[in-house]
Amino acid sequence: MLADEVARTRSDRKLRKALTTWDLLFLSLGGIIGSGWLFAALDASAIAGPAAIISWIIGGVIVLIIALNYAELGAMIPRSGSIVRYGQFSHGNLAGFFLAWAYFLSAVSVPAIEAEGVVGYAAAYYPSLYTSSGVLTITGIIFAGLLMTLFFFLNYLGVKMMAKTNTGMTWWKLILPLGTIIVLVVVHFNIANFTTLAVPAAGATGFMPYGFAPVMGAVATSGIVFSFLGFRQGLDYAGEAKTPQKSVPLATIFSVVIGIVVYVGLQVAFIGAVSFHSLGVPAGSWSAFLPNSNNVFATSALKVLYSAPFATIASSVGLVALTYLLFADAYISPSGTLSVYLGTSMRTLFGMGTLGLLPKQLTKVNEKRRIPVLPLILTLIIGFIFFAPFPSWYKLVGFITSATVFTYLVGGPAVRIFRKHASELKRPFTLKGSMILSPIAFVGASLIVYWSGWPLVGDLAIAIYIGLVVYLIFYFIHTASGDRSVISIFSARYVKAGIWVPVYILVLSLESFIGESYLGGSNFVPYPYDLIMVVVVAVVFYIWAVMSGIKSDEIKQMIESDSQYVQMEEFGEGGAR
Amino acid sequence: MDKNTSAFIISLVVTFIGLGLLIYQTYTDSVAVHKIGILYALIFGIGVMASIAFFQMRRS
Repeated sequence: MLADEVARTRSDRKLRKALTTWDLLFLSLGGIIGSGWLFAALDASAIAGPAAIISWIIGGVIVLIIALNYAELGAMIPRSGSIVRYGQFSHGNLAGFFLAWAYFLSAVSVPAIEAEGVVGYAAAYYPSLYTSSGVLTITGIIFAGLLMTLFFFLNYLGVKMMAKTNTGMTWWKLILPLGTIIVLVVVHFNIANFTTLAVPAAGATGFMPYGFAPVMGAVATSGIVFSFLGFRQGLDYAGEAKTPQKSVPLATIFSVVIGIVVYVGLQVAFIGAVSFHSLGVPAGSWSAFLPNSNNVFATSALKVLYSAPFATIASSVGLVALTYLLFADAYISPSGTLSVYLGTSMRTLFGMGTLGLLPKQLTKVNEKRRIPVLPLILTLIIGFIFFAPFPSWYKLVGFITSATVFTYLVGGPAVRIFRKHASELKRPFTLKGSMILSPIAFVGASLIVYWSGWPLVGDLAIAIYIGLVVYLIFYFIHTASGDRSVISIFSARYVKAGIWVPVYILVLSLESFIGESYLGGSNFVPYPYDLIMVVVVAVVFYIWAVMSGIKSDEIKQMIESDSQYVQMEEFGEGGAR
Repeated sequence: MDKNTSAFIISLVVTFIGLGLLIYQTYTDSVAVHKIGILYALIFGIGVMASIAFFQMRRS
């Protein structure tokens, strides 16, 4: 076992330690300000009205608290693909596997989603890219495949080249939304939009026209929380940072803070800039921004707004240059996110390989490029599979993306467990008040999973359990051939330490099923009692998670061999740029 | 001149060509939005991003 761990650490050493604090910050920001910024403000205000501003703040603060916990973990144990590793370090192989699988599902699908996003925008001008039923044509698949292949080679050139390119793209992605906020607030800002109520109802106000439940529902369902979750990039590239002790906490925390400022600003600018008169609906008709159940809009102007919210507003107030830039950004932003997530997906596979959850061939680092090439190729191949022409796949991919949130559950308990079982390890960033902030992070992540709604949470549970089948196939194939590189996750110690993870996803599914009808539940426990239920159950599971934490073999090895921080191993010759 | 400096200068030229075309398109037709305007904005955007990337590569 020790020999295996030494071999895994050796793989970590081969990665190029070339990333600066700025590179890590911009990788995280590149994940946070993805293609979603063009649409999330419309979606959130359609669900919650002007109170969507509160949704952004709630979502941002919850994710910030989760990020603070990961800042301590990331500075303490910086590894590439680190998020998939912490669950194993704190709770052993069983919990580690479930959490890593959930994370893998979300990471591996994103490059394909973003490539499809770019093709989707191009289809407005070249209809031959999509069929009428909304799936890619052969030409569309070739176009999306070429785009993925282009960024595959960018990642292949090495982490330094990829990071610098990402920094350029992220500057663009940062400047354009900030410029949009300033220009819209200066040129067209109607303060009455924040207070006008379209349909009077008991308890409704112009600011919060649909009550408080949609304000919280919007946090999970309108893309708010998924925008902020991009902070993970700084953690996943941590093993390739020059000074991870300093860079990881700074990049993790400041990316979320900058994200909150940008997104709240965009939401305020969007609400103030909307002209209900030109949309042909009464002032305050926020819910009309989304199509009805038959996919029909009240007016044609609303349909145009839905397809390109900020560009439509900019065009309607005569800001033509900004309109062009916003349309161009619809191609640029998804491309940037595609590039970053190709790298993240590659590092996730690498991380799972180093844990022994997938074959060890995935941990082989190319000596010239200093990246694990096989996981990168696999990521490209899996991406191509997602292009297959089945419309339901796209929906499945959407469900799977929310699996990311589930993996963040372990951050809070892991901080407390490492304080107890790994007190010898250095902590360049120590989270003050973790007695409070760690359980809040756990409860917050639980609430976000719950707010994803039924049947999505149930689908998530199924997708996560499918991972077990995949694991068993790998395990038996490798064991039968005498290869012991895929580890067993079912020893009594690991089951005792990690059983709370598979149990909790089932409990969350049950809570979702019996919860608030607005979130798709059967309304057996309506709002606000559903919130109390989720919080109380989450506190119980947090205590269970902390109590069942162990001093894993990986942590023991880190302490015994003083390998908390991995130094780059020099090769004899060659090397990537 | 090393290759990163050359690439940086070429990127800057592309940026200004894109910006010039974008301004020209905006003032030529200040009402409608055309495909060609989006293309000019893309050239400008790619120029900006490449300039920053190659500037950083040159510095490090």
